[in-house]
Amino acid sequence: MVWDVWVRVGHWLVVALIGFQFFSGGDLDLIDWHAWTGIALLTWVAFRVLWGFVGTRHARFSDFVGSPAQIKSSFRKLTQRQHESVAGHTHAGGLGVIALLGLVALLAMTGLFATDDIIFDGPLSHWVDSDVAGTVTSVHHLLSKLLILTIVGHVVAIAWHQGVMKEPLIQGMLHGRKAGGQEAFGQAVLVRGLLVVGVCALTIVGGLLAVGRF
Amino acid sequence: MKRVIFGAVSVWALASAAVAHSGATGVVKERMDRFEASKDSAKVLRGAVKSADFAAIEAEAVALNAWASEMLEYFPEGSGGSPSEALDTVWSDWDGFSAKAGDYEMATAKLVSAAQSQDAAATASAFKAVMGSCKGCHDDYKAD
Ligand code: HEC
Ligand code: HEM
Repeated sequence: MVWDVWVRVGHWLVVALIGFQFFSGGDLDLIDWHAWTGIALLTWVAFRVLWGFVGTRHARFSDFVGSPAQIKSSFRKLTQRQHESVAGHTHAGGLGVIALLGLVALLAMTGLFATDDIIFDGPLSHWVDSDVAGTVTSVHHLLSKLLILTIVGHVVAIAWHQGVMKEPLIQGMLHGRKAGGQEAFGQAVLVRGLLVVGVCALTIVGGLLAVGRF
Repeated sequence: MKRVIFGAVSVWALASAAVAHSGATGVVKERMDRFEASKDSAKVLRGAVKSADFAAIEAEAVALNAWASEMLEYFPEGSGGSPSEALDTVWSDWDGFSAKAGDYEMATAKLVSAAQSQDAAATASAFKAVMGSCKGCHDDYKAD
């Protein structure tokens, strides 16, 4: 195995939730759902960052975050259709992971201060002046466009691996197995993940309910 | 690349924060304040529609309707540009903008009469129409 259940379920859950965010972001009737889904995504990012330190082998940042030189060389191999024999993410893929996590985190954080200038104020927007909230909202919009571009890049790269280089990455993210994967996951992984999810959810949701205005 | 993007975003955010509404004066400041008051009304209305508090609904709807009928006077030629978020299309397409203001005035008038008739269903749908008319104008005439 390569990908543990938290990585896999998390990945596909996030695909669905982000899809919903693009659907609901401009909709007056769905804006409360948009906010709560964004908070769920923030919780997921927090989990995934912690999991990058205390998670399973290939989920850790140390497994896939590369230096600029390594990333460059990984992209070069990708364009030359040269297979990299790593079980987890390549360094190019690792850059994608960081960019996606960073953008989703920034989107969720700016959303907390955003306003639709009609009826909705993010739960923390009372901490800032209304003009700052307006600016943060513009940043939120801009980030959503950057996220689309990054997702397109991610999907194109996967399609390239899958279609041109014949590497079954999509299946890997579904059943968790990839060539060269040596990991075996037991109950302990489930329990550890549950603990980390619980801590993140309690801190973020609890914290927001305590200090935010809903 | 990522660092460049983050750097660009934060510089841009700081720069636009520095020139944001705080610098608004005169008629631009006045219309911004009126619009902020509209947002407060919208929130009161949402609560009042839920609890079918028709007196509160009528009061807020009357206030919005009054603002709707005056709104165009608050957009004199040449009052665009930073720090205003009004797009140039307000003036280049004045007929379209006036029509949106007209839609809004009509929608708020309907909400007033729905509240007076104490018809919960009609009030709820009239409220939705008012919110839709805010958004309809913002989509075309206000910067994101
Ligand atoms: C006919 C067009 C139109 C309609 C209808 C309209 N708006 Fe606006 N609104 C604008 C424009 C244009 C601006 C930008 C004003 C500026 O920055 O100079 C604006 C700005 C705002 C702002 C930001 C004010 C600020 O502090 O900068 C809020 C809040 C707002 N509108 C709320 C509402 C609400 C709530 C409604 C409906 C109840 C509404 N608007 C209906 C055109 C409209
Ligand atoms: C990672 C999570 C998020 C994503 C991907 C996301 C995405 C989006 C998108 C695509 C839009 C529409 C932009 C447009 O119409 O140009 C939007 C608007 C908005 N979002 Fe989010 N969002 C997220 C989190 C949040 C959170 C947590 C909140 C608040 C608690 C929030 C508040 C808002 C508001 C108020 C708007 C409306 C702005 C407007 O109408 O102009 N968002 N978001």
